[in-house]
Amino acid sequence: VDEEFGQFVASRGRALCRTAYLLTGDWQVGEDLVQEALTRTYLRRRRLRSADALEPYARKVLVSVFLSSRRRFWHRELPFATVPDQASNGRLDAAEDRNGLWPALMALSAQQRAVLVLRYFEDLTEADIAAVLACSPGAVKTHAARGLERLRKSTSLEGWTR
Amino acid sequence: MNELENLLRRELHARVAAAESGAADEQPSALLADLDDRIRRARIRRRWTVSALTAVATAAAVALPLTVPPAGPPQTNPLLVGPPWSVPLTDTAATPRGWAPVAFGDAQISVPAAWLVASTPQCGPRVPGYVVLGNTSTNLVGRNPLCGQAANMAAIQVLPSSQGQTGHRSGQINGIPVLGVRPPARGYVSLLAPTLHVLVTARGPLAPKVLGTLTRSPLSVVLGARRQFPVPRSWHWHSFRGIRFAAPGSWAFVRNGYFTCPFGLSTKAVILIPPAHSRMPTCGVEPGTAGVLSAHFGVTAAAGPYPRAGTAGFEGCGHVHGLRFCYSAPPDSGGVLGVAVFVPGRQRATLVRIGMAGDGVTARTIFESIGQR
Repeated sequence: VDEEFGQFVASRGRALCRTAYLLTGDWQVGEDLVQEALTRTYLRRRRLRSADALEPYARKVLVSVFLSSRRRFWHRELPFATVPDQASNGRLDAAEDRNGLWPALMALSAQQRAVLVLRYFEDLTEADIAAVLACSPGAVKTHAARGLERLRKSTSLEGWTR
Repeated sequence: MNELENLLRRELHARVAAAESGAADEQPSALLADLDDRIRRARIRRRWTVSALTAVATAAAVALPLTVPPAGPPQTNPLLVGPPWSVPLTDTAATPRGWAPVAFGDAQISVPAAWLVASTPQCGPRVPGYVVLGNTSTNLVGRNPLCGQAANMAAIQVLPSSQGQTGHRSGQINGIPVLGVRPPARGYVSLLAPTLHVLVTARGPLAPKVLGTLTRSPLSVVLGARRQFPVPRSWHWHSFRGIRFAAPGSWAFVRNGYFTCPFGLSTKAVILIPPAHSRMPTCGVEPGTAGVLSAHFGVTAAAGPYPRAGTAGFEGCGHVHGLRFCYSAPPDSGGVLGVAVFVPGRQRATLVRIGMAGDGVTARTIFESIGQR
């Protein structure tokens, strides 16, 4: 990659990884997603107006790759006869057990999760999220409302009300 | 903003902080490590797309006027039957009988099985021929006047990514685009294969025949970008040290096995090696001929000697089904792809050694099947 893009990756790659992690629920899968997004961004970089457009474009590609990857068959769960021996990271498990919000978030649809991550982690406006997802602001509102409603209805969050 | 939104915001930041502390040893430059390879493969994929579409369009333009059907029920256009994509494979038919394939990087050539495989030109009247594997700075022309070199030789040199791709004559060998380029000396023939990122050179009476065996290596098939090979129903799944993978059901299965000489594989066998047996044996010195080094089918899984974060000594890293892996396939490994799979929560990588024989499909299917147990 050229120097300018290398600097962009060095400065903003980690931020993209954080978003990707929240989308996928796995840091390594997130890194894979970021690399795919960066690859596509690099191949299209000459069509972007300026270096400032790199990050918004990379984020848009990141979310797009995430949403399309969720639609592919190899992400569906496969039944197994034996109980899996799942390795785990203690620190993450501690965070996961705190209020049950994380598993509830991971259970949302990909669109709903993407909207909530962009809204409450990236602090993007509805218009910006609509641009990232290539949909209308109304659709963003709908996804956000339904996502929050599902979080609210999840077993461990029954106490949380509007 | 209501309480749930506040909680969600805090939770997202807390999760990221926890995950980042777990991945603190990974530098941002790690993102760049695989990027070059991904970009290269994406470009090749684009070229293949354009080539395939051009070929289909050309064939359609030629064939359609000749195959205008008579009036009647519509028929399926034979040009549109079958999958629109196909992953290019290693052409096993390119290897003549009695010869052996020699793969390096993304390319493979075939030579008589008795030829030596080395990193420098070989001396001596008893050397029947040799293959030099290296990069473009590797010297192919022996400078020692007392060195009686074999009449026949060949070389595969991996190109640096920045190398220009120009040549004076173009053509195709087994579907691989090649360009004729200036050879290192008189009597040599050099061909650039841009899609395989190699320069192939040959000298001697067998040079045309050797160059005519050029095809892509099984390694390039295994590490190709697209997922195309679902696990056949006849294959069996195996679980070991936090991972699972599939292998042909007809292969022998050894649960408490050992590494076997010379390359840690047994032909058409699945060997699971427990930690107590994971020490590699010292194998007898074999002559590094193309026949001895040619690949076999088989797969071995063992508790790897690699630490969790160590990626030194590997040729590249990536992810398969969410698991980080690093691989190496040195030219003296007997066509074995060594894959260190890093399972979250485990101190040591699980090492999977896959024999890359044939057209690469079996090895790729095994590789693609690797996932967390």
